[in-house]
Amino acid sequence: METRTASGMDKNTRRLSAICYTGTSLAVVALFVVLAQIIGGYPRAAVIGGAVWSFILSMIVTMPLSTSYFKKRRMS
Amino acid sequence: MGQNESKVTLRIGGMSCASCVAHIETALTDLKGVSKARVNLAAQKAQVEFDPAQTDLSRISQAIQDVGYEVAPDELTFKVLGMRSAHCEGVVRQGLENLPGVVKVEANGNTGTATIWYHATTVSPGEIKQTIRDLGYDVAEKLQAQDALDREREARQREIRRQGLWMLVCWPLALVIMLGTFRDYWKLSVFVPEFLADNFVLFLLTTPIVFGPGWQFFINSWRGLKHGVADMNLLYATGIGAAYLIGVINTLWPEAGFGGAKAVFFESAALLTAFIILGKWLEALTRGRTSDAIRRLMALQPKIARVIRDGKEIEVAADEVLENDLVLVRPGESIPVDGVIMEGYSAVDESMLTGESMPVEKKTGDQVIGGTMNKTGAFRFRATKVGKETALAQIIRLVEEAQASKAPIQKLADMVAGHFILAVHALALTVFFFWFFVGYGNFFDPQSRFLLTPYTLGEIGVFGFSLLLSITVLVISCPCAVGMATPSAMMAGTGKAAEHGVLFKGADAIEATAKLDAVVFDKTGTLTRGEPSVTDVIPQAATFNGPVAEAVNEVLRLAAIAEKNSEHPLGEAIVRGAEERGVEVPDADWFESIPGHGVEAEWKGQKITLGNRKLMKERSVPFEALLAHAEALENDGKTAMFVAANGELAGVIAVADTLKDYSIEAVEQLHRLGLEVLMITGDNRRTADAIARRVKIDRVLAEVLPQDKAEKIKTLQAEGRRVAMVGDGVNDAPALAQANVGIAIGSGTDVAKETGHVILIKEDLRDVVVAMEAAKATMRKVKQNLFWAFGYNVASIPIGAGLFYPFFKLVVSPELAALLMAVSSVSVTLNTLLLKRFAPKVKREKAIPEKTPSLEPSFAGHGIRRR
Repeated sequence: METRTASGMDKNTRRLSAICYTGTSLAVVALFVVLAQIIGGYPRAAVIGGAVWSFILSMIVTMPLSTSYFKKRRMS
Repeated sequence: MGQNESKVTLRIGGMSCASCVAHIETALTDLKGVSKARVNLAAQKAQVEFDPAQTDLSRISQAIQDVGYEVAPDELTFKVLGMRSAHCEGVVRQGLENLPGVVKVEANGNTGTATIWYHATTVSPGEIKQTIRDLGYDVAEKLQAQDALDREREARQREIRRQGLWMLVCWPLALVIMLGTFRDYWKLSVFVPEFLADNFVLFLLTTPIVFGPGWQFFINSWRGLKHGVADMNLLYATGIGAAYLIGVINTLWPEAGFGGAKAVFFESAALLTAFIILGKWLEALTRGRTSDAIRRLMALQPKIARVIRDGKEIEVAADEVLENDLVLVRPGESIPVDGVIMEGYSAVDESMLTGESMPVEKKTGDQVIGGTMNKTGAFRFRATKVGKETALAQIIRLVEEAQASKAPIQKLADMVAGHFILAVHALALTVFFFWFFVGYGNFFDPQSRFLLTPYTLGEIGVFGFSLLLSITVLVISCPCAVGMATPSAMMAGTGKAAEHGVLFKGADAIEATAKLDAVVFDKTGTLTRGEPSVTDVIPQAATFNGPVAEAVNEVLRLAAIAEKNSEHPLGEAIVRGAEERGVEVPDADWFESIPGHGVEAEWKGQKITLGNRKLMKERSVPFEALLAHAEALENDGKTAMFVAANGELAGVIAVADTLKDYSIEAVEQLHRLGLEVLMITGDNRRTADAIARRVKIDRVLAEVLPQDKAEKIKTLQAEGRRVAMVGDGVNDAPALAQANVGIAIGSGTDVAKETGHVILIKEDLRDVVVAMEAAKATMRKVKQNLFWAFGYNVASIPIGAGLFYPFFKLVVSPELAALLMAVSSVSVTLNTLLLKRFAPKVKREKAIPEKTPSLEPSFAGHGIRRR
């Protein structure tokens, strides 16, 4: 029997969704770090700060999109 | 709405922006059994249509709570007599919870009280009380009744107090922080002590702001994020949080490489919080005022009623008056429910419901409306509609539903605002990438400044600079104003129209009304009274020698004697016309109706003949002397009848359907608004044209059968016209439904049953003009609001993103961005409040009493018709 949360998502769907938005956000961070390395000359603190800020913003953008996508897919 | 579907309006708490609207709507429409969900930000309400077999109120409420918002039901506390044990508590609780619309019941046997949370749109307090009585208990008194109105006002005042308190905390601290940060500029160092510029002091001063007044944004955004929802709070939280965090890092670890001790941004975090809270405070202050009209309507609901039961006069709560109760009303009292006067006479002020400025005289047999004010006399009336069925309850429901509905123009705004938060964060990320990798290296100048401050960016560093612009984009882009633009104006517009007796059934009706270019009036019962009256009396000069008035009265008397016992509408019109002129009408000695021709009667030896040419010819009455007049009357669409006494022609009487008061004025005003005015009728072309000439109708659609009216409207629409149909809500229902806007006129107290998109409470055609003016004023306001709101975002986002930095070396600081955002939201609300000044151009000073003589001043004498 599947366990459903109040918002109508089972654990599997939530896990899939979390993997998706975390993965996308980490990909953005990776892109940032790679670009910083390619261009070069950035202080380490700036790169770390930039990576953290990119991760936060990416999570904010991808989390609702991914949650809603998987929720809809689950319901259909 | 499907046949088995239910509709419920719920009050929602915690909505702050248009993206909240989108989230709740999505959550509701995802729910199985919900067919339609519309959420209104300004009204803080959700209107849900659902199949009760598939879902219920508790699931709907749960779905809303799941996405992080509150459902705020109404609350009532009763004293329940006889409820003493735990068993009784259970009986009351279960009995009430089975009632549709009841959310939760707390029964306490020790105190003998029950508190009920319920949705007033589904179940009334009267039904709740009746259920308790049906369970075998008695409801002694209402201890506390917090209706939706009080709760909404309380919640708003609580919000005003809360944000006001936070302003008292954060503004003085933020100003001190600002002075400390800018101590080195201008002559501030003379007045500002040195220790205030110390980063640790600034840190200590900023921390209480971020963790006090600013903490609500972190809590709210976390609550939303848990449910996968990004709202406005997230924009604030990321902005404040990032500015503060950088300040803390650069204060505690200046060598960490984030810009050092000169780039602490504490003043940004503090002033950003202060401005956002100022905006929230101003918004709470002004938001409630757009719903003043509905508040005034709700305040009209009387609290008590005096009824006669078992021969005794007792006072009961107004919502407990039963149908057929005999209700007493004294001068100066409000009428508690709708009914019909059984005894007494008075003048009643109905202005609060109809907009009619003059008190209306009421006597036995007249209808009274609950919520109106009795002015002069005392009377008793029989209650015909009580509880949710009263006109006032129906009007409130209609206005509430209209305010909760959504205009097509709003859908674009909602779509933009709903996806805006994510788009803004994506933009902030792009801006950060751009300035980090491209912009800083190419354009950064250490001497560049924040706009409107002397503060240079100095040693800010690549991360600090990019982060700063990224935060500014987050703060400056807040779509509060876009979300508020349409619903706030719709709320104010529907409320204002209701004050003038015009009820729009939805925001889409307002939008459609504002776009009309043609108005079609039904003739009978709309433009005209729908009952014939005597319009002309022309005596035969050769028969009468006395004054004209006497001759007119004599002809009228002869005709009325002949028709006194007739049941024909034309005959009734003649008798009524005579009585209204004060002419005595005795009974005829005998009378005979001649179908298709007229009537003959005898009175005191005098033989009276009344009828058409054919009858006159058959009775050998010479009628040629007045034939030309009769033909002229017929050409005007009237029915002319010859009157003869003892075979000698006495005169001609014309009977016709007469125009309603203000028909001509209403059509004139519609022409002034640039609309084409048409008339639709089943009458023959000649009669229709005659009426149309008098009212100055542009186009006549004559000889149209009732069932074909809708088809005619369709034909007009096929010509590309946006058509309003004005008619009786019952008889003209198909045409009203077919028209772009159906306007049902003169519904009186039965507003909810009317077909049509707009309902006029009174039978005053000028209200059609009021509806047009109100709709146009509202849509004007909507467009102005959208222009400013979108304009603000379109202009501010590129500035915030640093588009002009390469040219001017100026950056908008996050705190200035917050100020601009607050100003845009407040300016939209203030602009909406200007709708309060709306007054229809149609003047009502000339209002005349309800009953006007149906005789027109066109009586003539001696064979010469005068006008």
